[in-house]
Amino acid sequence: MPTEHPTAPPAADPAGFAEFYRQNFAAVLGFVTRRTDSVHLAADLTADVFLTALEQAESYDARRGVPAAWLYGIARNVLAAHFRGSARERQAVSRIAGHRLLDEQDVAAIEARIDAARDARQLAASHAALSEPLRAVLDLVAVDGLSVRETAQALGISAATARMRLHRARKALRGVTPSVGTSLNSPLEATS
Amino acid sequence: MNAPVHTPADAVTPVNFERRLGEELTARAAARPVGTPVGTPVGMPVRVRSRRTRRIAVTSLGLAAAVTAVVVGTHAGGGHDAPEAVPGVSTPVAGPVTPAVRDAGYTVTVRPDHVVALKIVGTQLSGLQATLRRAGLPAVVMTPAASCVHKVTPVDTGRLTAVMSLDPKDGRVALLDPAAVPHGDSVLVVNESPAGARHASVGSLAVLLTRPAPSCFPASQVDVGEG
Repeated sequence: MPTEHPTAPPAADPAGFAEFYRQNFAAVLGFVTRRTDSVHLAADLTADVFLTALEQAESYDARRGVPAAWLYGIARNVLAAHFRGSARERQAVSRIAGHRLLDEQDVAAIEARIDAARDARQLAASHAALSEPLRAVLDLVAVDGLSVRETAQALGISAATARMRLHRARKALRGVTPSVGTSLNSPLEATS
Repeated sequence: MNAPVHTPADAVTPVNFERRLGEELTARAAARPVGTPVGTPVGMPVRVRSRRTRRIAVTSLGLAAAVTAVVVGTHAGGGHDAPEAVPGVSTPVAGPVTPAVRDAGYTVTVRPDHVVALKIVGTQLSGLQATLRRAGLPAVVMTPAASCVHKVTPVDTGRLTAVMSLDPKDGRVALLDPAAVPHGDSVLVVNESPAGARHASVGSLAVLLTRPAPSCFPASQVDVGEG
């Protein structure tokens, strides 16, 4: 997770979007590699997330949250559509085949990230027993490291609702797999 | 944000992939027509909605005032340079831009970083819109009209401060950055000088971001000060 907080909004003009992309590339790649162990799929999904962000850039509203939270919401939707097998119909020409942009160094780098994210993927898998609303909150907080407030912004819910779902998710998992509870107690920001 | 689970901070970056993807996205952003509806797939043919069906979002900045933003509803009236579709302006070369009329009351200069420097030197502002557009700004220049009727709602966006500032070396010069104008927005310049004014300055102008530009600006909305 970047130590700086990305601030560039998802502007649709070339220069503005380029800065937004630069600030958020690592975060999106990390999000994707915590959910797939395929290098090519990681590249394709990363490209798809940013392409979707470009298409929806004008829908970003700073009053609703920070740019990164908005982007996490898009990333969740893109990956969910992919894994449901219900990706939006597109003319092939409009998509970016991310895997075609990879060279050997890129493949090695993404493989290293996928290896490093193994524990994160296992943690995410341990959340599979949860209902989707609870899992969505817990994944963003415990797996992706977002604050409760940022998670709420990404999901379009109130912070209070996010906190409630997080509490219920932790409680539910403690009841199913007590050993997982320890990782959930790792320091997490208590936000307003 | 907190650190995600077990992801090293020094993870290797696929630099070439990052660069190539960035180039591809930049190219697609550049190819995206003005006014493309939200959600339109990039690279797809675009049907642009008419102005009547598009909600107008307006932000404004008086040069000596706090940043605010307003929403403008349907409108009527005149008193302005005719708004027109922003032409596809290629990047202007740095240097002075010839005013559209003789004895113009302004100077417009494009700096090497493409920022447009606007200085008001007189009361004759005719042709300012065309001059600013040649300088690279998607500009619309208006004079407030008493016959113009608007419904105004304050909304905070904060984007205008990136578009406009005063030259720290010369407070009489307004600096307008075309690159900071959000895609699809127009820069609305409102001449708020009282009718018959013998002197004018860049402080007589109100600069707003609009999408699309309204066809008039209400006189009732002008923040008229003393003197």
